[in-house]
Amino acid sequence: MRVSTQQQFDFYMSQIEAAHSRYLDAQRQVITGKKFELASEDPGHAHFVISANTIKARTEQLDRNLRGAKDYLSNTEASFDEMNSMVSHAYTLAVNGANSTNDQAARDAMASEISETQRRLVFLANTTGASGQYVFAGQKSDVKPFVETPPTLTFNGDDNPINVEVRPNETMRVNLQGAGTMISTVYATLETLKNDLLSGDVSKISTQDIKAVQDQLAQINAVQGDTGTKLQTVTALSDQNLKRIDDLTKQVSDAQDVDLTQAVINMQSAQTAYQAALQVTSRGQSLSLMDFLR
Amino acid sequence: MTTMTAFDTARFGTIQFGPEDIVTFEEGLIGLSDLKAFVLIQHKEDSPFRWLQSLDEGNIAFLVVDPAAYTSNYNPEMPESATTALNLSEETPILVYTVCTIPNGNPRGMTLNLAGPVVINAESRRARQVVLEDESCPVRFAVFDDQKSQVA
Repeated sequence: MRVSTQQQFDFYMSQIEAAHSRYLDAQRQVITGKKFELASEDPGHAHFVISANTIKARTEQLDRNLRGAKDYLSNTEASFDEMNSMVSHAYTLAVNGANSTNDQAARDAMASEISETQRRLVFLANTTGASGQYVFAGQKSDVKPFVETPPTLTFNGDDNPINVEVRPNETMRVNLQGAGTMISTVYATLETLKNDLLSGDVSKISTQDIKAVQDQLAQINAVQGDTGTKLQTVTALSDQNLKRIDDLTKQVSDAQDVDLTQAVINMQSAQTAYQAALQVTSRGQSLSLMDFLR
Repeated sequence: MTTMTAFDTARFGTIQFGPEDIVTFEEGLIGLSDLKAFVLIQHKEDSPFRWLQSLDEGNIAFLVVDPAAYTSNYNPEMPESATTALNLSEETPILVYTVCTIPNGNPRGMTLNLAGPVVINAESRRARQVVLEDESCPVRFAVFDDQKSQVA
């Protein structure tokens, strides 16, 4: 078979182009650290990487949501932990106040303590979260929800839910339902107790006020249990999301990222092959008419 | 013959379970009302820990433990709403688990949520996460004595 000069040239050129392409590809992998840049270069892995990155972005968004939920829940829990201590102390004062052996001066001092407790309660009721939002204001979270004008406490928030998507297509209410009514009732219960202490109405304290304070404590305990349990759930979901994000990051890296040491070796091999193709071609193409006349 | 169903989970890979293994929370868990079907998976042989693996969402599993393993006098009074919903009587066999929280890298910081136990009617496999109003049942009960002062 006769091989024409043109065929020989075409063959050399195709070999050089292939070697050059492999060299450039190896170079690109070393520079970018990625096995491929275009989906067409590795459709199988590219599809996986795109899917995994989409899931990862969604999981990261959910994790941001969970952090917002934690902010609301942990502030609610902390406020109610303190309210529990305060109302427990008010209960102790009520029991002591119902003891007829105490004189009126002692009951007045107790009433003064209850007044202080009310001030602190209002402060807690206006607790703000990480973004400065009022935690117990419902959706009017930029409006200070509780304003005290003794002997009344006015609620300026609403009872609309703050719902946070905590997993795909499921939301959790993170603000306390009925916060306005509940906190106002605690305030009013303390107000009544204070007035009965001041008036020395021992009978009413023992028959009504002690029971009313106990009821408020039970409500506070229920909120603490519910909020704490939600917070625990959110924390567990967040931990599981973070683990998932780590797993996805690793899987994407395994599919997409190059082993740099191997990539450098591959680049050196491709470079050698490319140079060899150039040398062989230059020798082959250096033949002249004189070579055939010898 | 029991028909086994396969389900993919993030933690355990593919699990097989039968209808009798499913624990149903008709109201879901507190804060996660859409998660209604779970299975209990033993953590390790002879371990008091179980995983409450969701069958609605393979990525979600909660570590739970029999509180008796860590508390000697945990015998909370169940709210009437729970006993009615789960159809509990004196004779009904009940399983009670508490959800555990183990801080990353600090297993001795483990806490149990005694305020929100998971109560299972072992006969009907119906379950509920119950919020107790009992002040003596904290949300974060520190299991190890040396950690108690560090838990709010």
